[in-house]
Amino acid sequence: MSPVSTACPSCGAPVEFRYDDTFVRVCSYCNAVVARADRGFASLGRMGDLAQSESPLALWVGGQLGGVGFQLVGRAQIAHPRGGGWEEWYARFDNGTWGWLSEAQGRFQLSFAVPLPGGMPPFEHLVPGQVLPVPLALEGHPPEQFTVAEVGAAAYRAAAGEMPYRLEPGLRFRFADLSGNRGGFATIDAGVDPDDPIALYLGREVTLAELGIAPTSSTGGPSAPEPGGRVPEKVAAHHVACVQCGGSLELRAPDSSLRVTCPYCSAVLDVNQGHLSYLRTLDKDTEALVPVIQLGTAAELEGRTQTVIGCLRRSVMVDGINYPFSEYLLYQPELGYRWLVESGGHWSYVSPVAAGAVAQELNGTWHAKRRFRHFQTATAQVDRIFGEFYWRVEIGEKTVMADYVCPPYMLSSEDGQGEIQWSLGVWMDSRDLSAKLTPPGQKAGSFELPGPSTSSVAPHQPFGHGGVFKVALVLGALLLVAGIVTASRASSRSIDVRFGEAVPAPVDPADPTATSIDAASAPASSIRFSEPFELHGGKNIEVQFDSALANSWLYVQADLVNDDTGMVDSFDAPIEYYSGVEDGESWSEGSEKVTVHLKAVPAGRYVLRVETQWPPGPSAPPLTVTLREGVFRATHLLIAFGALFLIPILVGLRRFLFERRRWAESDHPWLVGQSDE
Amino acid sequence: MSEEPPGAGRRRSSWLATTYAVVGAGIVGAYLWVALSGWEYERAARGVMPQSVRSSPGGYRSFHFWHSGFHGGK
Repeated sequence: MSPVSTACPSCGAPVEFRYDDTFVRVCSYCNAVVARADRGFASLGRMGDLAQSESPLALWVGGQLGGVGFQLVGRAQIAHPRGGGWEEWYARFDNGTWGWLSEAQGRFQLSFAVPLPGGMPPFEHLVPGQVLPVPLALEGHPPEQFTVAEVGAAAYRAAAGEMPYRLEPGLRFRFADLSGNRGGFATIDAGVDPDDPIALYLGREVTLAELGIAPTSSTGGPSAPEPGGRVPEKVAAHHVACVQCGGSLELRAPDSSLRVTCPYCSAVLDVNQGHLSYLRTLDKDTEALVPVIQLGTAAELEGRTQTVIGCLRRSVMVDGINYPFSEYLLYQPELGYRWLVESGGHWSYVSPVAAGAVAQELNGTWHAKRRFRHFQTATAQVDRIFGEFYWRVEIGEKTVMADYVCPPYMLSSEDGQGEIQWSLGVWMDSRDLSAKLTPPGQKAGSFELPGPSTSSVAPHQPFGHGGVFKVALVLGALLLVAGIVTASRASSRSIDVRFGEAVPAPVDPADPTATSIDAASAPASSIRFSEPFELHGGKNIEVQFDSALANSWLYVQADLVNDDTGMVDSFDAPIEYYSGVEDGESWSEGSEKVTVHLKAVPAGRYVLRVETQWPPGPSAPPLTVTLREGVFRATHLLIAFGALFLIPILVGLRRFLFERRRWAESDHPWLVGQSDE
Repeated sequence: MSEEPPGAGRRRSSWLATTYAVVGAGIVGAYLWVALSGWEYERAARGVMPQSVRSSPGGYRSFHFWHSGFHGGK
């Protein structure tokens, strides 16, 4: 590296090329672009003055990436075709490579020139939203699928330092910005004419910390001027006067705002580096807007204090019905721009999303591993504006909006003017959002936003009680485990119950049938006592009576008697079983078995007394008695499951109705959403 | 860009989910108590019968017998 000094062909001031491999050097005094030529140096023309920006970077600042040092040796401000623009910094690495560090709205993307791979479509065929057929890979990184985010033409507005290419003042070059599905970033530079060579720059988003660069100042000052160089023009004070009525306007993002409305005379003013010019006056009745959230309101979101700087009222027309919604523009220098969107009293916080981070597949639209379902596509129109905007907003401006939902998120695309923009909104409770807003001159927490009507459902509003299903899953699993444990612990100990001889039941003198002339037709009965048996106690008892009945009945009355204490559990078990054939079809009724469950009794010695009655006439039907202790009760488990899932079932029904209301407003009213939370 | 979209803060669980968690835990607990204690919905009448009565098969007729009133038949 051998610095070369020369005199500026334009003004004669000293100009120094610090690097052998740079093409041009911008004169620090007159902004002339001095290019190396075959025979000396030539001026390619003069650039404009660098505009004041809040960039934390500065020329000649050094850094390090991957162990390789670099220095920012050049800087260019590039004008976007629709107003605004971005900055490019040229990093000369110690290993001789060049990096392009682009900066826009507080974000940095570092890219390097790479060979154009085969299979790339011609530049003229690129359209926003198109996925490139060939994956691109930066050295040391896996290949990525890239999506065309924007196709357009831009022009160099101002520059400083040295450039590794031939920068010509006012040159308008064609470009396409690409966004990768792994966070990659690429730019295709197609030059000025179709015959110009195509250059591809591939990189990714980086932070200043990754680059080992400390911001030049907390507020973001201008690039450090070179000795003897001119100080870049500083934007006028944030307070400016309306060129129409003289009213005092406050520009909260003077570097990037392109439009501002006057709150006094409703004039729409063009902003050019803080300079205002009158464009038109809004109709106060149909085009002006009184926002619910006051401009200048501080919003504590994403861990930063953002400021409300503008508000739009837009609308979509669906089936002849106008659906208006409001968009509040938030600004924070490090974050850039965000939005608060209100529709029908529902609020969303909206952030930009890289086009490459969205994948549109047959089964839905994917972002951040979430599947979004198409909700609605409509043309949105700007109806009213108020405040400050970073693009040249116009009343009547139209874009095609498509919304995809995965509550509480909504992914939206806006397609128009050679660019596809994706954004991600998250639904917010109006009370939660109110707590995060502090209008100027008010205390935090004193502001209250209007909320939605209770019957309305936003496209991405989460069903508020979805947590019940998660709790039900956990509790259901717990209950299942409890059931398995209790089933495995159930001893189901069979007790051998032996009975003595049956004796006829004594005749009760008080029984009128015993003494009547119908005594012969009275039911017969007998009593049996079992031999004593041991019960361990503390566990339930199952007594099963089994009798082979043929169109008859047997009434069993039993007593479980503690032989030591005299405690008696008295219960009955009616058994009846009838069957036959009627009209050629067999039928049966009742059962030959009856099972009775008794609650736990104390451990001890027990006797079972069984008294039976049966119809008069035939002999006593045979009766088998089986007794078990510690029986698993599946019925209890089923009852518990029923009780446990009653609330989730009701909540599920409510959710179904909720989802039906949600999708009723969509392009697919027959759909009822499944994915939620 | 981070994987997780910038949200509006941690989401709260609903009052219903919280209430249900408490009630549901009670149901699971109640089931465990029933299953482990041997509790049953009691159909049997419990009382105390003196030894002298019990030891006399002919003289012992349970309370239940006199009050059930079942006589069977279709």
